[in-house]
Amino acid sequence: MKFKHLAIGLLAVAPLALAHHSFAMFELTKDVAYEGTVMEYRWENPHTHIIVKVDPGAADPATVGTWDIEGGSTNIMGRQGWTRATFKVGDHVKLIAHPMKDGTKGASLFYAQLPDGKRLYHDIARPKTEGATASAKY
Amino acid sequence: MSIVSWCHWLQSTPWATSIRQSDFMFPVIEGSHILALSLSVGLIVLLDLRLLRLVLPSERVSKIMNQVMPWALPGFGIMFVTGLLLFFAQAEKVYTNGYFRVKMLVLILVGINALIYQLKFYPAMAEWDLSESVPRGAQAIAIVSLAFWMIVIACGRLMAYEL
Repeated sequence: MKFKHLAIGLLAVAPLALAHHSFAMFELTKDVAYEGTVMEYRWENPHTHIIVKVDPGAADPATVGTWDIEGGSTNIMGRQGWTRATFKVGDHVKLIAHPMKDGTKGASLFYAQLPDGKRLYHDIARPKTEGATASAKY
Repeated sequence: MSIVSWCHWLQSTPWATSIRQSDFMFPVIEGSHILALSLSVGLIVLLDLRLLRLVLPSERVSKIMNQVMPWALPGFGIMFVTGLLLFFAQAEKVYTNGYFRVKMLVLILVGINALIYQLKFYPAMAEWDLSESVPRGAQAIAIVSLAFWMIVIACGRLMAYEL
């Protein structure tokens, strides 16, 4: 009986597995800006996590709260220029990320908007260019 | 000290932390853990399928076993060592992961299954080595082995989605 439950359990999770990792959980076409204070900067494998607290009064009221912004492995992010010292607790940051579909306070990191105006991307993904958007219409 | 707090201590040790935060060690360990599957489980599958007379039916079971095991056992050794290192690096999250617990339980069952084969069927293998019929019990062990290894691999992959 227990194995029957296990088998059903395995089948139930299968669609998630096919989407490769948990990206299926994220609304990948949606870019949300989370601007707030770094509570934790976990530079680690298999996923880096930046815990950000967005205070009331934020430009986007829907982002108020504490968010777990998930990045890739240290190797993937290191190749874009991230290091274990990129952020520290207490830093003010603006992160652009794809929110969870189910509304939980988590998101998949897209890039960090740095104070000097530069973008620190999470991986090789870049925003679609104007040209690409235009040609996609036809 | 509870097991969870012991896991927390374990992953906080400098060397566990250095694996978790490394650029190359982690993917190398993780990749080796997965690639060693082909050596260990891949070859065990070959032996199981022979017991079910689905592959190499005209080859002696003992001959296949003697050639496969010198590769399968080191393969399992690589999986065991790399698995331990992956556990150390993320002990707390792994210990509380449901799939991990199912995986460990089924791995123990796989070990018992192999032990039964060694004690009950291995000593008299010469009697049915080349015959048309492999003892029912040995075939049952082969089916259990195939099924349980699939569960172990599935749980190993599924647990990683939650880390």
